[in-house]
Amino acid sequence: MKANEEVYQLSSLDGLKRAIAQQYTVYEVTEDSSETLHWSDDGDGQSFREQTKLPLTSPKAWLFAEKELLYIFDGQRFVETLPEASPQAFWGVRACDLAAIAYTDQFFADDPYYKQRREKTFLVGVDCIIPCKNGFCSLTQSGPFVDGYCDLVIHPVENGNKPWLLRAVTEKGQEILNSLGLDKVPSGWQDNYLQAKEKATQAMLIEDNVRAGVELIVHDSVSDQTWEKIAVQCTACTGCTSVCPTCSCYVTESQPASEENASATHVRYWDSCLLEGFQKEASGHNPTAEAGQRVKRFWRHKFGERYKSEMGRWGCVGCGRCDDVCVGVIGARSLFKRVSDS
Amino acid sequence: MMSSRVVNTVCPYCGVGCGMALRVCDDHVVGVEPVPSHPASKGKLCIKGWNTPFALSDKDRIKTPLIREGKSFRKASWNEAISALASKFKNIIERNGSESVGAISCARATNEDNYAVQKLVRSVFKNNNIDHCARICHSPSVAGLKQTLGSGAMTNSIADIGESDLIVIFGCDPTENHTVLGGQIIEAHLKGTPLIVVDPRKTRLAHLADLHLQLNLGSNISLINGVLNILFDKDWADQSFIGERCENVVELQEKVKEYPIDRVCRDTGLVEQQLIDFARRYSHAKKAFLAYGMGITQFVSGTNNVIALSNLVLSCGHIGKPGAGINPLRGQNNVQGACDMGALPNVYPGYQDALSSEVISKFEKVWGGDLPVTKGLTSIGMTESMLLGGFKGLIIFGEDPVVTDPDQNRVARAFNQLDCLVVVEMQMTETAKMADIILPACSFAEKDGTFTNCERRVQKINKAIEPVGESKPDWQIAGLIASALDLDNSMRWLSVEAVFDEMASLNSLYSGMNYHKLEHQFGLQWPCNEEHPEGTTILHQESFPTGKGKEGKARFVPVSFTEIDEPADEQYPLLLTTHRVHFQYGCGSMTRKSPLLEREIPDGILFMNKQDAKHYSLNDHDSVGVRSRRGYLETRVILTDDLPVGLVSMPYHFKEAPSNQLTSTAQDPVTKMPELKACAVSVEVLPGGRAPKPIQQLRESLNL
Repeated sequence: MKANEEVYQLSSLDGLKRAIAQQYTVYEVTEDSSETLHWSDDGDGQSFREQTKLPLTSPKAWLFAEKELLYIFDGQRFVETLPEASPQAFWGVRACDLAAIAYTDQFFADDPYYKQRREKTFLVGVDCIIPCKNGFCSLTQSGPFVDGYCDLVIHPVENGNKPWLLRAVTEKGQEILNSLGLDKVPSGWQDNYLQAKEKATQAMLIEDNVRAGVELIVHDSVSDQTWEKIAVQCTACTGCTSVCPTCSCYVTESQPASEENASATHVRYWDSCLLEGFQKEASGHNPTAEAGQRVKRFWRHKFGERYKSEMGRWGCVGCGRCDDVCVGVIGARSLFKRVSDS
Repeated sequence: MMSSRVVNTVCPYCGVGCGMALRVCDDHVVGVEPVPSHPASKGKLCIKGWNTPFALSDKDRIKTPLIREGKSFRKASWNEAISALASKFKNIIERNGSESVGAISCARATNEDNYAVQKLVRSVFKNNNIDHCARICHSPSVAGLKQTLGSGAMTNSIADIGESDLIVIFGCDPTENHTVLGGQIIEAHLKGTPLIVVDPRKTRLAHLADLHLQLNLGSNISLINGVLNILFDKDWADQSFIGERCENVVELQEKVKEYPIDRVCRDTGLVEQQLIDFARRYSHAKKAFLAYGMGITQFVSGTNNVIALSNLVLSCGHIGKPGAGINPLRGQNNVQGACDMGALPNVYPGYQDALSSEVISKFEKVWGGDLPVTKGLTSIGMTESMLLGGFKGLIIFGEDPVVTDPDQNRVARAFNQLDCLVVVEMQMTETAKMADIILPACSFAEKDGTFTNCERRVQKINKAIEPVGESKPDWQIAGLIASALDLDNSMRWLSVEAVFDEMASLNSLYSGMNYHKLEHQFGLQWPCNEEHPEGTTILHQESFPTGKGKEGKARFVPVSFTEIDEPADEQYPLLLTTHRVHFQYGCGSMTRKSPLLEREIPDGILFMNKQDAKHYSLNDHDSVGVRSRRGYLETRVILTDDLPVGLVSMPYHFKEAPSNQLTSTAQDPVTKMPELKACAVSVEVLPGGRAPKPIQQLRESLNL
């Protein structure tokens, strides 16, 4: 938090949530009967203080839709079809996912479909005072505390009874706070805040071989044989690219007019660079025919210098979700350790 | 405003039964998520699972009943279609007798669907002509293990993979077919568990294995008997387990003496060191987890192959304890359930003998009316009877035998003999195209019910969206057919739960289950009854269900090696085997709706060893014609080092180049399982390098 910005305090967050709900559908992290956390507009949410688990997915699908109708051809004209986006607020987005949204905001800066949804989106970030199990955001400089990239930030102060700290990052966020008539927090909060940040960062377990593995990938020092060997375990399940908050590859498909649809449609879907067919060319040639090449590409796109200088940061935000879903046990941490030990 | 919610259910593809959450927006499934705390899938999904939203799209879904009019179909109402069906079936039964009709149930439909279909056949058609695709999959497991252990299901649980100190993969390819389970094998192996793979092909796990026995196609029994011989010879067998819990070991010891090392090496193509290595590792392990699949069952010796494996597992006592077991990997999301529900000609739900007067009487009391006392036909038997003219009416629920049964030309000829073919389907499959009447079925996301996965886990699936068009769940369709044929039928259930409860009251494996119990954990593994109210993770811990009471012992049953029915010869010099790929499922009716999965399909699907290619002057991606005694197809050849010389392979999913043009119908005498894994073919390069023609085009020119 920057010193010359107003920081407020709240003993309860209910009023804030209600104020946001007047203008937006509020999505909260909600637990279902299988103990899985999802973004839901029909839930009662979780207390931020005890929360140590990330929701299964980031809000990516609400900005970059899994399936998006791009345009139709009605027999005479091509007509662009922007999505019907409704105002949506995400309550309690973690630092990693916010860094990822900032990243996809850049990637899709000229994409009318993403922008249509993004413009109607209100983001309430929340600091992680307890690190999650798999995350390594301090290594990727995307957490554990929020550094902007949202409209409002909530800071949960430990020991239950203390008030929440709150600040606005954008004008949209400031408007909401103005409508509430909040108390400013007394001075001296910065020390506790910085201590909490240090504590959360220290509590994050990042082994030496994890750091070493990342370094090797950053410097492209992993041999092709090592990538090949690791990639035997890649079953191309596409779990990683599905849950990764910064993955943005897509494929398009044309569908002709049919009995049910008088127009031909052009649609885009999420794609995955781990698929053998991803880069296959019409001639049959495939520059990444080998699984090792594809696994390497994925990690080099997340940690390579070329993309870093273009986007201002690594593509990996250290959320650890790929570890959770990887069938072949070569998600982030597992992979970094493998690379380091090879 | 779009409302979005998440519905927990179970994946509709393979037998792992992964937890799956469907993200629903405005009555459409827009996304899918894994379930982290699920005991079988542990937060993972495979590529098919992640592509489920495509499979559930409206695209090409059959939305109304259809009635044939010449070469095409016209839409009809349910009333008209059911009336037409009933009147045709009544005529057929009047003219040809009640044995002339039957049904094929769906191994991907729910337990409730399957229970209803077998009840339709038995209580309304009044015969036992009910079967499903387990016939060509694990019917030898059901038959073989019933003889040796008393029960044909996976003895342990998927979680036991992580508990074992040795994993043996015998004739299956889990990272392709049960991908999430395959990932757990990889994980265990990375943590230090040794891995042995027995397979003529160098599969992904074979590449990772500590020992790969790349045996000759179909030589399983020789290998196993040879290993048993070594075990007895070196006194490595678990004599105390054998003494306490098995019968008939002396006969087995005598038989395996006929398999000395040099004979086994000749039969299998392996070397002595490999046999001894395998024997030592397997016998010295404390708890070895053995999994097997079609590489054991799909042979004329399928049942005997299973029995041989059972002999091996028993000889080392790797059963009835954690981390061990003999584990047939059931392929489909509910093929275990379809068998449990008695969608088989010889058993009622719970594997109760269909010809036992006690069993018939028990079901007559609850169902009413008279039940059949005649033997029923298997699916293969029905095909044969169609060709002979005796079988005239068939209802197929959710299967595509024209693509997935062996010798597809024969299947098509047989179906052409039917007076009435009814197909209950979601998509216009090759089989549906031949139907007289098509009835629209619900997908797994459009209905409630239960699936039973390979580890006997009965899980509730939950409706996420409304039935597409006028589609209905199979159990309701069976009920409508029953009512049209028999006003006194007892299939007018008011809810799907009522179907489950009726079934559970008649099936001691499921009698302790109800929806409430199933919903509050991730299902329950059968047997679940008074004795085991919370289900059973590991079978045979105390006794085997071979005899009455607690003294049941397992049986050693000596078996002999039999050659495959159609070895390579001068005219057909290569052996063809069939397999699956991880990015397609079955006939592809659901998976081929995904552009990503469709894009994964290579431009040719005949895999061949590089040396063979050289010998036949074939280059990678050449267009080829592939011929067997049954048929002919065209595709491109893909060269690989993963196959041995003399063996080519094809995945079976692709209706434009269907491997079942070529496969053999030679049968296992016990189960009628066809020898899908081995037949002889010839391969020739297409003249002028022209592009391969799809079978639909070839049929017209070749009158196939």
